[in-house]
Amino acid sequence: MPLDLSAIHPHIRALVDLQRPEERMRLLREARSVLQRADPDKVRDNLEVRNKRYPWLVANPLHSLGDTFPVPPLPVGGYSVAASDGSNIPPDRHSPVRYCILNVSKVVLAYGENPMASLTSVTEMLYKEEDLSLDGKPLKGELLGAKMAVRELEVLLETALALSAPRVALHDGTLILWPLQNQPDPVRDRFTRPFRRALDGFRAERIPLLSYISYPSARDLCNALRVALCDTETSECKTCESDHRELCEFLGQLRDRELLQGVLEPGERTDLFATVSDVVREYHGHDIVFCYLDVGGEIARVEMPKWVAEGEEALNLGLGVVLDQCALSGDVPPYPLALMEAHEAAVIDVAMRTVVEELVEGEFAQRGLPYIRSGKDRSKRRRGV
Amino acid sequence: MTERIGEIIETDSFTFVAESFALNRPPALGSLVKAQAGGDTWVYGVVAFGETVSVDPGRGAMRRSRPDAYDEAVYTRHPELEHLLHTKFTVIPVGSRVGERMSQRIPPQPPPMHYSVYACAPDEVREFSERRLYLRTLATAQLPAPVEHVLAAHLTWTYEQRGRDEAWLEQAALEVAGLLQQDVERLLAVLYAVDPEA
Repeated sequence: MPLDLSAIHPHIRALVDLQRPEERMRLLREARSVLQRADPDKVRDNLEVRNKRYPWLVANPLHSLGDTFPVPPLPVGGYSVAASDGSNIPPDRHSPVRYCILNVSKVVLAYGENPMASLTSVTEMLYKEEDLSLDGKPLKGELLGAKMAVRELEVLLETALALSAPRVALHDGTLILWPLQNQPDPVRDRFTRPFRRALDGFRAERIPLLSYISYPSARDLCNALRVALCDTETSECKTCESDHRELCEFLGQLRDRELLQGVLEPGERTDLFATVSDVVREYHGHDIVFCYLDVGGEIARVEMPKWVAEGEEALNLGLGVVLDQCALSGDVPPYPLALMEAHEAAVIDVAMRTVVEELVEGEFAQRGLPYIRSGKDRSKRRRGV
Repeated sequence: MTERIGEIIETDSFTFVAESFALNRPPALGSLVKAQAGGDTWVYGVVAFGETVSVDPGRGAMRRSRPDAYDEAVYTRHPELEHLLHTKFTVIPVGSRVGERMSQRIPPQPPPMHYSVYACAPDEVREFSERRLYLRTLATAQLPAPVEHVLAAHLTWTYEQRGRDEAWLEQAALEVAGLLQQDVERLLAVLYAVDPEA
């Protein structure tokens, strides 16, 4: 028994005490009241005109801060949805050879007169040195994450292009390549260029592209309320004596999904907000916009290129498809069915990982080459007593 | 050539399992089918079990119906189910044919993995069931379902395929009576089930 539960138990109660439910409810009511009455112009003004820098992400309202809208029902006659997700076997430090497997799913679900489904994936093996490192940096961690995000978007475009309208493309997670945030320009460019090309493709073919984030941890909207409440520089926060200080600190800890719980009704969305991120600037004209959507049991964040948000038809079709896909999932809280199947089609399970390793090992053996894994790895696998 | 109805996905000397090409429609329980075993060799067997399950054992089926969409409508609303579910049927090999020569012995080798399973045409059923030595093989096989139900299903199915051949059914019932004489309850279950008047 490697985990001593008795050591944790007393802390669980203390953890719950920390939540201070009554105080939290009072501050939440205040925060929601600010959401209704705060001035979006002030937020825009602070972010754009005065170009103030904030050490947190702030939602930039395209219109209002607190307005909500019901998503209109989908047009009758059905639709097609494409979805994709990815899974990988990263290069293994304990293996005598370096290779990486990418598996990106291609899922199509079509409804209407001729319902059909296609659940496949595209598998790639990278093993050449130029594919396994970028500017001397090994393809792992954040870089591998960025590589996956790019391939997923490329495969999603390819999948969606084959569909007939009305069609929607659903991406899993965010459209912002966060793993690139701290990377040098040449590395960023290697990923943002093909990502941008794929975004161009969606725009050229007018395929509404939306990405879905379940149980989002973002605080962008809460931060926008802080910006609306206060004019002072964030460097002065520590010495702040404003009446809003308590609420401002609370908003700094609050997630957008918590703020919006109960503000949105099932099937409703918030207004639209632009993301403020250095990475998105490199998408050159593909601003990323988001809203929150109550999918019935959960507040999800939906991101999309700005052109989707600006076209009422594309926006309503995209969000309508997200809601319908959530309803089809049959789960509570729901999750879009197409993304669920995209995950299932992409996942490389433990048995398959073993098969890949055995194939490589077998090929080595056939050629009479030694294949010896690290001692540490062997000891973990053997686990003798 | 009759219709290809499935592909073998598990195979051993005494049983093989095929995935049906039609979801939710395995061949009838007790029906005679044949599997390609390479060249002009065929393995005959009796369907002893059918089931529809999730392709991924880790993902169980869950309720998909709604008050306004159930039964067939579930499949219209969920086209992905055709890919996530599969129908399998288990066959007990009871004979074989090499060229024109038919035998009612258990084939020396199991049919190969991924080979095709076909339905048998009425003429072929008639030819194979002329002799009934295979009923003993079926009655003593390790079945995934109670033996009396498989025997009864096979007898009634064959009776129909043979154009309601009562003489054949009578003989077959007598032979089953001999095979199950130690187990009266099972025997009665078969006899009641195959009675055309029942």
